[in-house]
Amino acid sequence: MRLAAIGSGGAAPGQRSPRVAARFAAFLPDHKARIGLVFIAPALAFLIVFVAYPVIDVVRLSFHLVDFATDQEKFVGLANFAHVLRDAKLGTVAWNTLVWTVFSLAGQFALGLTAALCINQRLPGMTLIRTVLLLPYVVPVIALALFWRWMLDGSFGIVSAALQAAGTIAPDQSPLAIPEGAMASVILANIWRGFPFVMISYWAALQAIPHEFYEAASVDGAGAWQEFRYVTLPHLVAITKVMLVLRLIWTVTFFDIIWLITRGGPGGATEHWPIWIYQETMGFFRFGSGAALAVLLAGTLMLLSAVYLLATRRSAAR
Amino acid sequence: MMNPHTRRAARTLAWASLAGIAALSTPRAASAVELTFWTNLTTASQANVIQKQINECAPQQQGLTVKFETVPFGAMYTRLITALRGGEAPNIMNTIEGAVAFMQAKNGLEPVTDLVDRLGAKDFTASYLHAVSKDGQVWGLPDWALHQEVWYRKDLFAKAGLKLPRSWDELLQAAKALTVAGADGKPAQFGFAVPMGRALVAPQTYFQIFYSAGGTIFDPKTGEYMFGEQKPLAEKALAYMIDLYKAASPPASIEWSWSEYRTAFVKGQVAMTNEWGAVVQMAAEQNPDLLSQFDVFPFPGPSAEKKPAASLGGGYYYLIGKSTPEKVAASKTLLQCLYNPKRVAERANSRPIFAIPATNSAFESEVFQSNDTVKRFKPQLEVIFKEVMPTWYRYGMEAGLNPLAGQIEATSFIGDAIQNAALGKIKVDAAIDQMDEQLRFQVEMLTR
Repeated sequence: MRLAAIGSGGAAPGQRSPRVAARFAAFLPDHKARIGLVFIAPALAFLIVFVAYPVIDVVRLSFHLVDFATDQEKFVGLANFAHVLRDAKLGTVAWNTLVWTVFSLAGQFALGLTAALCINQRLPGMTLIRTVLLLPYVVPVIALALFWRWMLDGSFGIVSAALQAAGTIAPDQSPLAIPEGAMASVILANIWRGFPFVMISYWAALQAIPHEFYEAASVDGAGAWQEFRYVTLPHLVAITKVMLVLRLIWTVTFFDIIWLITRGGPGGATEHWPIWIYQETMGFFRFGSGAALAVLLAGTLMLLSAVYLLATRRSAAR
Repeated sequence: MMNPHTRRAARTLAWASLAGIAALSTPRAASAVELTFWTNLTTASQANVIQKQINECAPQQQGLTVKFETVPFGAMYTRLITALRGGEAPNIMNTIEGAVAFMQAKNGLEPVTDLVDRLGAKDFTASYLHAVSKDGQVWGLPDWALHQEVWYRKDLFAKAGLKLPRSWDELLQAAKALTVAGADGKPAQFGFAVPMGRALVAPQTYFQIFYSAGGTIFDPKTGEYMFGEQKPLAEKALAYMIDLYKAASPPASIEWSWSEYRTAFVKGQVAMTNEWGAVVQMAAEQNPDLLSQFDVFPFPGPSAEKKPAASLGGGYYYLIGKSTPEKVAASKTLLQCLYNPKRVAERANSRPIFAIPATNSAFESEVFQSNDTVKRFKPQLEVIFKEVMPTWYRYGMEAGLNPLAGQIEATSFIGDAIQNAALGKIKVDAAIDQMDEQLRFQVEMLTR
């Protein structure tokens, strides 16, 4: 009944003034749109409270000096941004974030695609193999981190023992105690953790390629590589574009795995942007500086994503 | 059927009963007090003892209920911030001195000076009261001591014909002598574990050495910042730490935390380590045969002629959050009951050797001294209680409460400088400059 009243533009007594109802009707003249608005209202309210408000508050905080205990805030303009941009570790952290992101993405996409091509074969036991390959993605990060720390332990770890036996590292040494080794270790752990998502997405895309395309290519005399190059790859472009943006955002902002394995060490060698945000906020309790770092990261990611999507659209249009 | 007189009498009686019940219940409701009680001690053996003691003490106050909660150390500052913002800070909290400084700096604490006086100030080990004193008040009740000294293997010392080191140089020589190669030429045993985990552990190792030489971040008497003025001493301590690491510690110990170096000691991989006494319980569970070979000595100072100036220590405290006068009074009465020497000893015994009572009465009590582990390690406890516990500092709290301690623990700027110097990425003087610069900056921010 209420929907009908709204739909007809009439005002139920005591519920809505005719002026407000008329404005509402003018704003959304379509009856279906108004009903739709009512249906999405709960989701909209959820988004406003749990997504929009926190984001807006972080932006607001980045311009304030906050005393968390007394809740007193002082507007400081761009001082928080100036503070973090003048910090001596800005260059190191930015470089670490870049290395972490680029190598993690490259590894996840390469391994994910290879695994997808393998599980796309119709061989006995493939269902089991697919399930096993998905395991790293469903294992809790804390278990994964402890497992990697144990394997990389300088005294008892199997990976460290192998590296020591090969003479790559000194006896009783651990890759986690060497800056380059620590970064390589956390990247490997992240590749291991993230490749199943890429694999399953690519596998779904591979399943959607019509078999006739391969038959036609075969009739035209294409070999395995040419089939992959001219049939498979073009069909994976769309999913790659979407996944690249998603994985970029997830990888840059992924905090847990580095924190649990190296805590950003040794000597800051694996400290990336999210760890810096955490230390500013929960270590020094400088909420304004932490918020400024978060805003800078979000801004950079949005810019990168926009440039990437624009570039891919232009190349598609050509 | 009742006659009208009886009915009237019954009605009067009913009203009188209701009025009586109301009269009785009103003052009881007014005196009902609920306290929130947090502890960082999440292991069952420790938390259960505190819970049991609360259950014994709370009924002594009419109308008192206590809501007990264990809050892991890792989540403590986040919880405290949320609680402070919401005006729901705990009435009583059991935590380390860094959190006492944090709460006091945020005006979230009631002083407990009167309670200390009631319990007898002289009963407390003076260094533990000093650490939580500020502006002429005491802000936390010392419960048990965290203490750091050198734990070593008597059998390995005897086998190598070594005496107990009394100076940095003697310690380095002993550590070198105890670093032994196996048949394959690779180290089979290391002399001294020098753990340098980025957060917490590296500063703890470094300041143990720095304090032994008489250095401090703040002047203990005036409270003036003085780390920068002591650069030569600070550099000497860091250079020594790195020498010890390179000469006698496993290379991977640059990123070791507590579990790694304790495991190494308990498994026999290292002969000595700076430790808080947790290796006793660990060895009892994993390698009990080795327990009889454990012994301790204070980390020596630079010279054999002079005793170490101090060590890096700490402690667990009970603090009272700002609240209504009724809740503050109820909290103090509850704590007074918890500070019966037997109960203090019982709490320390929930993790023997690692936890040592911070009061003389509890240390000497039958409950503490009759504990099997305490009896077994009586000589070691005497050394710790008499030689280590009286002179200790926590980084940044040399002149009493200072929230800088919490920031050093929650961040990694000191650990980064130490690790980079040990890795050879920067020189020792540059590492000390970095630490000094950051410490000055933090002090300035905290006092702004």
